[in-house]
Amino acid sequence: MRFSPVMLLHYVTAILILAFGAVHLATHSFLDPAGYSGGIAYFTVISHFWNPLYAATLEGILVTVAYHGFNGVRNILLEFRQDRSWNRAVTVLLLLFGTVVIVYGTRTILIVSLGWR
Amino acid sequence: MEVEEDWMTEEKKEEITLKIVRSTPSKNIKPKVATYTVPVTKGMTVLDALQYIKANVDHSLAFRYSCRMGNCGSCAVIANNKPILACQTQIMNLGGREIELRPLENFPVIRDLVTSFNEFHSKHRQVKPYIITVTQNGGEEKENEKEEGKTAKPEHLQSPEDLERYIQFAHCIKCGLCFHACPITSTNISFLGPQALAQAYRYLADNRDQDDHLRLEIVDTKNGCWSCHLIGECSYACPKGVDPALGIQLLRRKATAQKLGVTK
Repeated sequence: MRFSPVMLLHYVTAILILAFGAVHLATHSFLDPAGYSGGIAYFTVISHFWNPLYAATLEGILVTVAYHGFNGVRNILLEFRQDRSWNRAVTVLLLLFGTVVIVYGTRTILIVSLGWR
Repeated sequence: MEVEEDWMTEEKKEEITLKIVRSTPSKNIKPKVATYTVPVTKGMTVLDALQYIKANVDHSLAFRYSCRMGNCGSCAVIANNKPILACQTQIMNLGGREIELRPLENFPVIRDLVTSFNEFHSKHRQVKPYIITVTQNGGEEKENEKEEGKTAKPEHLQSPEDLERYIQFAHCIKCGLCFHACPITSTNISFLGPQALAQAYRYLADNRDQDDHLRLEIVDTKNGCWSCHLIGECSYACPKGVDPALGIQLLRRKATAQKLGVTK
């Protein structure tokens, strides 16, 4: 299997993490009308979640960090051993972990942004 | 005898101690350090010193060499922890009166300083290190395998700019110093290694080569160009000025660009 698409996505997610991260930090600091200390107050943070664009940014951070992080860990683990079964086990296990992280994180974002609690 | 006479007539200025790690794994002879004293003359290379020992001190010492002018890549060894070509390195330039010589790492030792290049050459062969032209029925054809008597194909024109794209990688003499220096090669036995990958790029960048898939299928893998950590020891070790680390990065770019459909 060609490996370049996997790594291309790795690089793309790295750039997206920077972009999403910048938006995220800016929202909580100088873009917030309440100022930096007001912007990180609990109820202000929660209110940001009600903005669909902000919720989408958080989902973007979640997905890109999960892919970039788990793919990075996979690359490191694959260098420890070079047999097919190890390769398959690492890939399946990390795919599973990544899916759990994304599903759980998405659930949290939805609960807060849609007020499901 | 002629070598001996040369040495006898040379003015002996000073002596140097060579500590050579010797072993014969096939006979279960474990590595041990043998110490030799060699009279040093002006311009003497490490290979000259080894030949002196072989001719005058210990006939059983095994080392490999051929051209004695840095072209064949046979005499690569480790001297004072530095990967060198024995024929190109003057012994006084290594510094100090004691020099330790070891066989290349990441290569199985056959005897003393002689290592097996079987795996190295096999990885080199894997990347199809030759110009591939495409026959009319779509199959691949090596440049040197064309049948005689067929209508001559037009010559492959190459401009100086085309040549510039790959020429530095064509200077590789397959000495194995980059393979020795690469930390990934020592931890990942499946990694193709800097030499093979740089050669893959050398042929992919050659405008006479018509293969745009076969070679990339081989190198665009986890154990191909994507295992490189860009440590750069390979480029530092190369005695011919080749930059294998650059070749590997260019391979990545080529593989990604091809996948995105932005180049051939």
